[in-house]
Amino acid sequence: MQDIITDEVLAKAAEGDIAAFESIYKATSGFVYNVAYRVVYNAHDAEEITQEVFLKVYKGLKNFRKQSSLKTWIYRIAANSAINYAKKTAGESRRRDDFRSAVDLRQVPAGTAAGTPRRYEEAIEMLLKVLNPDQRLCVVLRSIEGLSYREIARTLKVNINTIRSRLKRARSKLITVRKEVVGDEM
Amino acid sequence: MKCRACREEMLTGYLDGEMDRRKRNCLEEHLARCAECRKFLEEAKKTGPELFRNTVRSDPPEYLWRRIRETILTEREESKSSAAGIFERIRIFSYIPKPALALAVVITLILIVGTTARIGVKSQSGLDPAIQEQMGYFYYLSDSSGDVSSNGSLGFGTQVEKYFM
Repeated sequence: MQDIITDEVLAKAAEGDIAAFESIYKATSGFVYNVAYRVVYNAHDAEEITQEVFLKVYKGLKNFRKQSSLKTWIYRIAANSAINYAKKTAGESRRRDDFRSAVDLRQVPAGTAAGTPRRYEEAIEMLLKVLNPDQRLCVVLRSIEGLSYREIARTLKVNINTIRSRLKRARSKLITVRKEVVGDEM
Repeated sequence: MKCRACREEMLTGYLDGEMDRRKRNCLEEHLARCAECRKFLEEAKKTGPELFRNTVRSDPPEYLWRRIRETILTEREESKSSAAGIFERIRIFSYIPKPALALAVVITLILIVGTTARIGVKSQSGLDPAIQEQMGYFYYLSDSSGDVSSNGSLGFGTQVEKYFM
């Protein structure tokens, strides 16, 4: 991504050039949108988060001093926005989700959940929803987006051992619920 | 390496390939002789990156960029017009024809000088009676001292003085 976004593009975007900013958007919006979606699991909310992130990025570019890479900086804003949104709405949706998860766990027969791509995505959604937002974010960044532990730690500005600990707890939980949700097909 | 430590490493560094060679060798030695941990590893693998390998990445919808762009442009216009509004107000306040400004300055100065001078005169005349009173008292004393000098004494010529002296 850094190769695509040259210093010139960055400088122009920082001066308010909308075309230059569009190339930053094109290079990074996929990551932002997908992370947001996997953390909140709602397309509309993911759009809201993505918009909020890029408005912050646009305003913040003037003061961006390249102390961290642009990628890390944008990822950090995205991760924080997604996690804040998830925590803010957690109270509102907890009851509904708990009920839905319980129903889904009973209704999805073991061994058939991963039969179709749609079923597979639904199963992944159910599994990720079992985790708390911090654990979910770590799993998404590591297992779906493929970031290294060091990159995740930099993005979230936390100690690398915290990342290990969150992943360990998340995966322990996933081991417990995976069989109930998807059986042995995945 | 004990089973517990081994399993913790399996769930993180081992699954994600983020483990140094020495630790990895230790763990693999343990796995070679512990069937329970080998079974755990099989379960753990199913929750690692392998589980999410087939997840679909979707791009944000096309209209999202248009919405963001529109918001940026609208905010930019609003901030420009509000900045322009401030400058316009400053310009209106500062728009005074030059002769009028000069006249205003002259009038203000005259008023200031006139007021100050009046206060000075007033305060001088206000002090006059007190000074005059004090001066009269000094004249009186000097007259009395004249009596004293004629008597050759230091007295004030009062009845009490006369009685005792």
